[in-house]
Amino acid sequence: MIDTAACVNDTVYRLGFQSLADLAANAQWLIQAELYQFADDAVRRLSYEVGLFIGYDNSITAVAGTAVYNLPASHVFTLAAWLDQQPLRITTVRDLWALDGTWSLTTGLSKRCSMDAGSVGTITLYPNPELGGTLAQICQEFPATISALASTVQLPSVLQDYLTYAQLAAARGKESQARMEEMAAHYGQRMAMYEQIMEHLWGAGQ
Amino acid sequence: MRTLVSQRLNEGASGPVYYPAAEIDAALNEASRFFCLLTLGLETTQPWSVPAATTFTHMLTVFPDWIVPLRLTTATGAKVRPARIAELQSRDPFWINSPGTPERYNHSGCDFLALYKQPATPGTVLQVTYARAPVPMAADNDIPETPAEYHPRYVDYGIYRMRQGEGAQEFAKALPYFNSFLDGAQHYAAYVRSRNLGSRYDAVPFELESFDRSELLKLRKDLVPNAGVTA
Repeated sequence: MIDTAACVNDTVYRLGFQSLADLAANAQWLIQAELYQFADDAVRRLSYEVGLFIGYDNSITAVAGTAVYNLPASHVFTLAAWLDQQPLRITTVRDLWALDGTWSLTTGLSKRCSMDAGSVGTITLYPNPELGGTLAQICQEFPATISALASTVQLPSVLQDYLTYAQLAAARGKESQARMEEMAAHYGQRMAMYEQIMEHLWGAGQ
Repeated sequence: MRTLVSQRLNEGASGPVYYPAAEIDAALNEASRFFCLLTLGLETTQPWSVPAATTFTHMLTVFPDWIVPLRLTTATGAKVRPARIAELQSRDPFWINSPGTPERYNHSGCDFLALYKQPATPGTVLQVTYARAPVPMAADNDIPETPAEYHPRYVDYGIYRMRQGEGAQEFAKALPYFNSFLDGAQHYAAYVRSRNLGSRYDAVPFELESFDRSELLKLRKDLVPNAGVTA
């Protein structure tokens, strides 16, 4: 578990301030909320670039006669899905058409799901379920928004410095009197290195 | 170790002033974390009381110093083998709800672990060997947990990091120290990798040998202030 407040405390000094109070009192080019925002941006990027945030979601309850459901707000990609413990095979809409010319009208025990049959952000069950149940998924997702009031993120503590470098890269790269482009570029390289290591250890994103 | 960094930054005689002790400590802890991430050089084996009838667990809630699993074994010593989700689906379509003694596990993301099969009742204990994060250092006489022959590389990293704030050519002078740190990590990671393969562990360290350091170790001269300006 990482508390991004620790990253902010570290970043503040490395940007030339003595403390958060000094930042608040004297900085004309950066505020504390921006640093949390930079960390949040980095984590959201990781959620699709690298397969770091995987979770089990069972928040959707399917009902008989309804095939299309909105995916959870934090959903990025579905790795596996079940309806009432019946495994669902992830299938493209092209294959559904090939399988069944009237697939959208077919009812029965759902055995497949499609991520592109409905609009973006929905999952479509095939056949249209005759029985409801819990729609469970193993998903790639993004974590809750990072802010000063909710600063923790579920990542191994060895990745703390990735978020610090994300803050430094963004802070040194933004248009200001404290801009240091060569350092922003170096911090970006450090982040890229971390991402390669993450991909090796925990898998690529989708 | 803090003193060593301070001395190398030419503040040894009068004590840290321009490079404060707290910031040197932060640099050394960063070096320690990065070294362990690169090498998976710290491992531990801990008992894990598997919750009854539970397929999915976020391992950071069980072991806060978790990085990656290396080996899971049952109380009888049998190995719980790693598997992809697709393999589990093929093996048993109803694998997420299959009571029994754990036979396979899937590790996805940074800490998401799925067990197949799931013990129906509490009391099952698995021995989990995993690569772990280092314990933070706080005092001057604290020493890293990794082998002592690599500790001078931590000092190199400390110098590299402390000079980041200066930027431009001053920082460029410190980049060889970072290269030295990476050389040390590469050497130890190669040892850990061969050891992990020999031990039939389920994860090996990142291959620094195949990582292109050229961009990382060169300061972009076109971005340095006053670049191209001639007297």
